[in-house]
Amino acid sequence: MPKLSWWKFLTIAIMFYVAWMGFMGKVPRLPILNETVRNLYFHVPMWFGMILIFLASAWYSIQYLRTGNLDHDVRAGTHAEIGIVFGLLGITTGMVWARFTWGEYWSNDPKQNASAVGLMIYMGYLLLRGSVSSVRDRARIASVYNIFAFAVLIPLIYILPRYTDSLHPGNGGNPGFNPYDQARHMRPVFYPAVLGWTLVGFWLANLLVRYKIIKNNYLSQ
Amino acid sequence: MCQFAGLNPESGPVLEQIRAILFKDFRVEFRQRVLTATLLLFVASSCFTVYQVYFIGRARVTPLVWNSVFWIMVLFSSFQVVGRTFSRELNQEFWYYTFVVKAELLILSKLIYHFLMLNVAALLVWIFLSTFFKNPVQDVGLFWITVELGCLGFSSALTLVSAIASKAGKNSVLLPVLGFPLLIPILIVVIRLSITALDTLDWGVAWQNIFTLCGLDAIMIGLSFILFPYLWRH
Repeated sequence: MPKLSWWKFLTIAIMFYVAWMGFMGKVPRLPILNETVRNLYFHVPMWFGMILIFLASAWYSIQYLRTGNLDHDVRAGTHAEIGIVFGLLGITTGMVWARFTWGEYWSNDPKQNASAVGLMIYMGYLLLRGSVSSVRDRARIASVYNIFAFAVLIPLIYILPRYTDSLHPGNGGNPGFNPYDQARHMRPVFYPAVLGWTLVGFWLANLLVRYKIIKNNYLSQ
Repeated sequence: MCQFAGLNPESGPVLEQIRAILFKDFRVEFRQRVLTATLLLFVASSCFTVYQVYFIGRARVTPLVWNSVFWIMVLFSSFQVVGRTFSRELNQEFWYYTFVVKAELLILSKLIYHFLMLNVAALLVWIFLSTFFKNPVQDVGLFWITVELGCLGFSSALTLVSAIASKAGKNSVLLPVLGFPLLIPILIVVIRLSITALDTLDWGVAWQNIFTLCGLDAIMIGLSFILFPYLWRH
């Protein structure tokens, strides 16, 4: 049996803890939110995970441009794919949640829009990768786009939503998850949840990257 | 090739080289006149079409609607402007360019070229929309500051994306797909800023948006400058 590295054991432990505490733990009674406040453990970590995984993707693109090692390009592409999966999960869980709290699946909330744009950008990135057949060309062109896109995504997600009041809990006077409203017993679950889900994302990417690199080596023999 | 006689990489100051590339682009433009004519016709016919849609749909064009229509027109014209410029440099005459110009200077002069052409487009849109509909802009100065910053943002984002898409060999298909999402941040700030220009509010509200827009433009120009040489190399 292959040996797992320590952070994978940590991920397993955290995810068991989050799954148990997420559904069984005590949550505060808040108007409108009620039990949906548990979405904090599952929906919000998707966004943190997505941004961190996209950050890793951009980092590997920079590494590719610096070193010219094609493995870095494989890593960049794979992390973008996993980031999109996280983004889709985040947007779906968010929409289901919004249906029961805001009344609509889509309410033109700045954070919803920012994340939809982020998904479009990275799907465009995958499309770009798919449309170039030469490996070296693809790596270089896609890396340039990836770095550029990430630099545009950051102001979009973190700065522009501050311009208008968001419907999100904790914004514009809504009751919610901001540090003051968050009950003492939610934080010990929320922070591990963010860490755990992010690690799950990196684990998935790690597996895919190893598979792709082995496949590429096998094909090039 | 005689038209590139002004380009000389080893000698000559930076501004001189940029001027030479720009001059060459405008001269090609002047000889063929296709892009300018296409742009003129594109803006004219699309403005007229929008006018028909609103007129027949009996929709009232409020100042806010006018503003939105203006930016939609500028947005689509920017794709028209940027659309084909890199085809020459990246395919037919690629090797010639690698010998005579530095990549940084090429992207910079392309950016200036797109910016100037987009200004022409914005001016045309302004003229046509003002003829068909009543022009509601109160603070013309602030509105044109917005237009300049917006055009700078559009052209800087689209110049690099156009280079990427041309390199990938599918410019016409990829440019809109890759370009639209990247323009949304600029578009949001630009529209908020131009709404301020519609009624003469005091400029205190506008400054924050102007700074954000300058920041976004700076990020895009800086990154184009850094990243384009990697795209250019073979």
